[in-house]
Amino acid sequence: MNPVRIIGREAACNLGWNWDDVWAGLLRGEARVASFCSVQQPISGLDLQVAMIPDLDREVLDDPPGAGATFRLTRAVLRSLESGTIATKTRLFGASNHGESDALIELVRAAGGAINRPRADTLLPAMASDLVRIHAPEAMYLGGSIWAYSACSSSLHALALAVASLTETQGSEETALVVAADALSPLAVAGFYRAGAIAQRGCAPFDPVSDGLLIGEGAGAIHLGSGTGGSGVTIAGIGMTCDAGHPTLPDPEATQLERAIRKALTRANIDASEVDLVVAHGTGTAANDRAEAKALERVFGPGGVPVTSIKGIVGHCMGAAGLLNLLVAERALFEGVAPATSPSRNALPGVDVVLMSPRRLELRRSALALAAGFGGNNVAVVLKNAN
Amino acid sequence: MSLFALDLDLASDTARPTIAPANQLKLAVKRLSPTHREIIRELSGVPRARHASFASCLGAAAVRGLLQQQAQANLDDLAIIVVGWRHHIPISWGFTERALTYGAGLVNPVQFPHILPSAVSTTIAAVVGSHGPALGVDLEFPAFRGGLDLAKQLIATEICQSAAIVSVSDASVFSEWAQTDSQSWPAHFDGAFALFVDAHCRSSESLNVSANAVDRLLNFYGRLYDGSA
Repeated sequence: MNPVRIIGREAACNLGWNWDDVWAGLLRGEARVASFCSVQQPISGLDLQVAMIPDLDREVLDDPPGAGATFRLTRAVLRSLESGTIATKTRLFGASNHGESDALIELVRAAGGAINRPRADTLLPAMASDLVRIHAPEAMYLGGSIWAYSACSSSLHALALAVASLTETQGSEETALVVAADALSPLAVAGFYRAGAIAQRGCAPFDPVSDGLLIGEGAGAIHLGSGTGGSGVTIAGIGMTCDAGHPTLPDPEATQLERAIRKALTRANIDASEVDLVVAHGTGTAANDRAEAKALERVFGPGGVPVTSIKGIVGHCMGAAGLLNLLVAERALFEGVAPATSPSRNALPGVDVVLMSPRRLELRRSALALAAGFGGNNVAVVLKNAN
Repeated sequence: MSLFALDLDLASDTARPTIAPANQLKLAVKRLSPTHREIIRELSGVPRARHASFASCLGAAAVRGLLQQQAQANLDDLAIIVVGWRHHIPISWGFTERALTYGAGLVNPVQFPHILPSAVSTTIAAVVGSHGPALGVDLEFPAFRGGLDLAKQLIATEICQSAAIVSVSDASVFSEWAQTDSQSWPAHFDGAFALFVDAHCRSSESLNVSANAVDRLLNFYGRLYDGSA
């Protein structure tokens, strides 16, 4: 069976509109934050710092209905993917945490409560399919996109569906596009605020005194294939589990997260000692970071592997977060360097967190990218470096 | 392969909806009364069900009934795949109204996870205690058959051992917004059905049998809606 390779990638977030700018910003370690009050939005009481994209157009259009900022982020990363790579039979897999919920509700409000069923061809999945058709007309596009919704683990679930599809069609030269996007949502910001999950003193994942997350927005896209080409990094193993417990909090013992990691390692046919970097979910909330640190310590041993999180810098990009972690893991393996988690000097015991400045990786054989979501979903993806 | 659905043969307000094999359904109502909606919430096992979407309650009730008939189901590796989405819109709408009226400080944090499109799948997983992936999927093509294909691929790649594929329809005022299986549920119709698949039904023949059973069920609902059943 041929391994599934990453043959194209793109990302956008507060650090820039393309992946190279985002990566450079991650290595600089500069968090670009702004007040959420500077975004025109209708909910009072949200004087919070967020990792926003300053020049993202947030206006909700009614033509097509529901075309809001999440659609624009989706469009931006799909358009920027190297069109030359989308020249074979391609399927589209999408992901989002809240999709265009805010835009749809805004449309209902603007219409004075009138509820009209949106036409199927103006919904995000169909609009994204149209983007691919327009962007790569030469491709034998296998229309009909599949979108995965599992809160903040959505993008890695979409990745898993894409990999499963490619595995089934081995030898057919089929490829898959995975795209994930979430723009800042006043509803989500209000919910996290009310849940007491937003950092008051700055977000520093895995710092014992970090008191919450930094909400961000962004998008990521990757192009997968089972042939040749790409960076030489392959998707080697995926593990997916669900805590099936609390609707918002992770299992404090992280039993299912540990299981997901071990499943991914087993499928990749590697030992934990062969993993040279973990790009963690690392939200900056005590509940997540402590649970994740426990799972990592049990699998890799105390301080057994460098661990980094990008959420103190780019914020928590919700449904796109997992895919951004995956891109960081791939680039780290390719360039042999891991971005720092935060300028903090302190980390929870049991985990070797990359702090203060980027760290050179002595070995770059494989890396693990993680994502977790409301409702307890855990996804672990092992990347192998064939170089 | 087993296909079960909520049987809505409700002669009176005190009659309780049950789960029945698809070939034994005696559906008599299209829309549940407020009393029956309360009974479904209670049957579902969803904690604080009034703060969850009714679609979550319908789905949880259907999967609970399904799993009672599946002694071989290994919950550690059972995936929950809910096809269609926007079931969250009624809760999102209520959450929005409160946020707009009273500000962010007075929204209900218990409702917060239920404003997400993924809430139906993760709520079902929590109710039945399944530890495989729990996700909602939106497909541009007939959703239940697509969900069946996804389940087959996840089982074939050993991501999970079995899957419950779930479709729900909530006849609330927002049902027009719910993107359930395309070409299947009529609007303003309460219902749920769930299909159990495992490695034994990975073959094309088994999957075709499953898909045909789903088609027959949807056809039945459709005729019921048309008044021809």
